Amino acid sequence: MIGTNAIGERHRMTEEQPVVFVIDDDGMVRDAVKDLLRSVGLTVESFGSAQDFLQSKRSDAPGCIVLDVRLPGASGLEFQRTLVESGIPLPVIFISGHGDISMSVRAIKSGAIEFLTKPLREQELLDAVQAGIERDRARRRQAKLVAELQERFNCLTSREREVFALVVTGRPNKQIAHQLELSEMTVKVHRSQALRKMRAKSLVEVVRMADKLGVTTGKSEAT
Amino acid sequence: MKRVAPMPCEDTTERYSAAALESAQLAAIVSSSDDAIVSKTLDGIVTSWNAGATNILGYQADEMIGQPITRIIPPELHQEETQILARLHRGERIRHYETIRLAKDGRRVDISLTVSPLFNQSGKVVGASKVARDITERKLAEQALRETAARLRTLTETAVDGVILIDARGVVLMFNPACEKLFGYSAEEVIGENVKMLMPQPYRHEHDRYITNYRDTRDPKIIGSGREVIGLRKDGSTFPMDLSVGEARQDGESIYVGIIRDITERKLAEQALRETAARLRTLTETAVDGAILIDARGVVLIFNPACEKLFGYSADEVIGENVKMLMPQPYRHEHDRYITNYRDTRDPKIIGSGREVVGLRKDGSTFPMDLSVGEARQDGESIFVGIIRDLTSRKRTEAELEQARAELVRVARVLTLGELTAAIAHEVNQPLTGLVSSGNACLRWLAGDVPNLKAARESVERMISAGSRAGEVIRRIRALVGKAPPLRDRLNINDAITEVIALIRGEIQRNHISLKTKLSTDVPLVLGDRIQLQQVILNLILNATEAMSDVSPQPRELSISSAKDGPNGALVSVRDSGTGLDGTVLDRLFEAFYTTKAHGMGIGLAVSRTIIQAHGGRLWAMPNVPQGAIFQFTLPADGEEVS
Repeated sequence: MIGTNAIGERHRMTEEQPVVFVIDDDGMVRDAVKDLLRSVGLTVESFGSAQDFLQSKRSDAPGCIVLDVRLPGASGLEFQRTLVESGIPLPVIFISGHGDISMSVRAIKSGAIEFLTKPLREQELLDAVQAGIERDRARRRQAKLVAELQERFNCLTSREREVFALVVTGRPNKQIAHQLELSEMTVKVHRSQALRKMRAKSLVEVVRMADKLGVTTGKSEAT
Repeated sequence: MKRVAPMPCEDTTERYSAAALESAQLAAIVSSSDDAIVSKTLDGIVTSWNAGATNILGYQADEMIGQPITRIIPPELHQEETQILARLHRGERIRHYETIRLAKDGRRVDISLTVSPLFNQSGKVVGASKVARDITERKLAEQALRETAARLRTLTETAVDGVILIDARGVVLMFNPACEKLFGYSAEEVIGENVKMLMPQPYRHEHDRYITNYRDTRDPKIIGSGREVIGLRKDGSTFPMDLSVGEARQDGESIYVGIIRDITERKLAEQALRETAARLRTLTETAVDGAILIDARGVVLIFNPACEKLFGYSADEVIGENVKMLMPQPYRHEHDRYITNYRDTRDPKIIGSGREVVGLRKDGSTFPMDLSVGEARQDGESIFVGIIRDLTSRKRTEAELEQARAELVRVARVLTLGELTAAIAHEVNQPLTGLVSSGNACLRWLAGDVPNLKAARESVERMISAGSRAGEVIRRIRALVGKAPPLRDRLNINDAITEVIALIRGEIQRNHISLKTKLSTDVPLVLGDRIQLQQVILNLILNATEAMSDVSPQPRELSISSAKDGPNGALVSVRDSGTGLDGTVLDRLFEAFYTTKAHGMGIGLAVSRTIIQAHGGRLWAMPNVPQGAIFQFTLPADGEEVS
C-alpha cells in the first residue's frame, strides 16, 4: 500500500518533511487534490496561479509541484521553463483535462515526472508525487553532498588543490612532483593534507568527490 | 346751265349754227358731268357753276355766279388761289391739283382740281375753267393705307425678327430696329445701300445674280420659303440666320421683304446635340458594356460592338428584330407582356434599375448578365436603353466563393463539434476530478487507525459540491442544445430538399450539371431532425456532383426526386450520371473511412447511413442506367414512430 509506504517515509524522514505544491486555477480541483494528498500524510500548499506560487515564501523542504497544464496566462510548459530559469529545481507533475500526446511528450522531455489526465487516478497521482518527492530528495542529498565537499575543498590551499586535481587522475606522486616541479616528499605532504581535509578514506572516494565537484586536470573549480 | 361762260365764237351763221350746236352739246356734257365744272374770271369771280359743282359743294349756281371763288376756298388756302391765278395768267394749265374746298355746310371736301385758262379770240387769257373731282373717298382710302403703313411700321419697329425691305435691284428700303441690333448697323447706314453689304462672301458675290435670275426666270429659289444663310455684322463677324423672303409688287416693280431670325443659339444647341450624339455613338461603340436600344415594341434600334461580342450576333442580324431573340425561355415568352404592361401601367418593374437576367447567345448557350434599363422619349414614343454587363466571370467568382464558404462551414462545423466536445470534456472533467480525488481522500481519512471523520466529512462535502457542479455543467449544455431545433420534428422532406438545392445551386451550375427535381406532392410528413436529414441530402448531392466532375463528354445529369414509400413512408432518390459504382465498391461504400475519392475522408456515407438508420430509415446505393449511381433512402412516416 502506498499509504503505508508514505507513512513509513514520514517516520523515516521527520527532519525532512516534504511539501507538495498544487497549482490549479480551478479551486475545486485544487482543493480535492490537496485533500487527497493530505489524506496520505503529505504537507500540501496550493496556489491558484503560477504567479502566486512564484511570489510565495516556501520552506526549504523536499517536494514537487502538481501543475495544471492549462493555466491562465503562461502555459504549464512555459511555467516549467520559468522554474528552471528561476533556480527552482522542484520536479513537476502535470495534470491535464485532456490527453494531448505532443504536449505530454514535450513536458516529459522537459523533465516532468508525469503527465496525468483528469479525472486523476489516485494511484497514478500518488505514485507520481512520490516519485517527484524522491527525485527531489535525491537531488537535495546530492546538492547537500556537493555543498559539503565544496566547503572542504575550499579549505585546501592552492598547492593542495593542484596536487588533489592531479591525484584524482591517478598519477603517481613522482610524476606529480615532476609536473609541479616539487619534491616527491612535498607532494606526499600536500596529498595527505588534501585527503585529510576532504575526509576521503581511499583514492576511489577521492575520485568520486572530484567527479561530484567537477574537479578535473588543470581546473580547480567545482561546477 | 343758266349761263354759258364766254366761249370762242364764229362769226358766220353756218359756222355759228354749227358752233351753236357744238356749244349745246358741250353744255349738255358739262351739265351732266359728276365733276364740278366752274369757270371764273381772272379776278376770281365765278362765271359758271354746273350741277356737279352743286352736288359736291352744295351751292346752287345762282348762289355762286358773280361771287368770288374764294368763297369756297378755306381761308388758309386763299394764297393758293393767288398762285393759281398767277399761273393762269401765264397761260399754264394746272392738272390734278389736290386741295380742299369748303362746302356750303362748312364741310371740307377733298378735291382734285384741273384748272385751264380760257382764251378770247385774240388769244388773250380772259378766265379759267376749273374741273374739280371729289376725292374724299380716295383720301379716306389713302388715310387707311397710311394708318396701315404706320401700324406696319410700328410692327416692324418693335418686331423681334429683323425686317428688311429691298427693291428689285437690291437697294434697302427699310431696315427695322431688330435688324439694327442683329447687324450692328443703324438704319441710316443701310437704307439706300445694296443689301449685299449684309452678306459675307460667297453670298455677297452671288446676290445680284440671284435677283436678276429671279426677275428673268421667276424661279423662286428662296422667295416664299425660308433658308439658313449667314449674316455679316458691321464688326465683320458673321452669324447664322434664318431668312424668309416674300415678294410684293409696287408700281409694277418687285419689292422684297426679308424676315430675319438669329439662329445662333439654335445652331449652338444643334451643334451640342450633334456632339452629344457623336459622343454617345463613340461611347456605345467603344463601351465595354453592351448597349441595346429598343423601341416601344421591342424592336432593336442599336446593338453595339460589345453586344456583338456578348451575344455572338452581328448588329445587322439583330437590328430591326425583336429583342426577345436575345432571351432564353421563360424571359422570351414574358418580354412582350413586360413591355405592354409597362406601357399601360407605367409600373417600372425594371426600368431605372438593374437586375440579373439570363442572355441567350447565337450558339444557343446562355450567360448570366446584369441588365439595367433606362427609358427615353422620342417623338412621343418610349424608347428603352439596356446596358448589359456579362456576369459570367463574376458568377464564377461567386460560385468559387460559395464553394469556399460551404467548405468553410463544413470544416467549421467539424471544428466546432470538436471544440464543443473538448469544452464539454473539460467542463465535466473538472468536477469529476474533484469528485474522484475527494472520494479517494475520504476513503483514506476513514482508513486510518483512527479515522479522521472531520476530514472525511469535508471530503464528502467537496464530493457533493463537485457533483452539483457537474450537474450544472450538464444543465448548461442541455440549455445550449435546447436552442437547436428539437431532434424529432414533423417535416416535409420536399421542403428540406428544396432548401438544400437552394444552398448548392451555385455549385451545381458551376459544374455545368443539369438538375432535375421531381418532388411528389403526396409524400407524407416525416419525423426527424431537419438539419441532420439535410446533411444527408447535401452529402448525397455533393457526392453525385463530384462523381460527375470527371465525365466531361457525357451529359452531367443530376436528378433528385421524392416519392411516397409504401403506405406511409418517404423515399428520396439522388441519381447521377457520374463514374458509377462497381460491385466491390458497393459492398464497402458505407464503411467508415472507406472512400473512392481522391480527397475524401470516407465518413460522409457512413455518417449519412447512421443518421438515416437513427431515423428508422434505410440508405442504400445501386447503379444507374446507362451510367452513374443512385442513392436512395427511406424514412418512416410521422405516425409510425410517434404515438
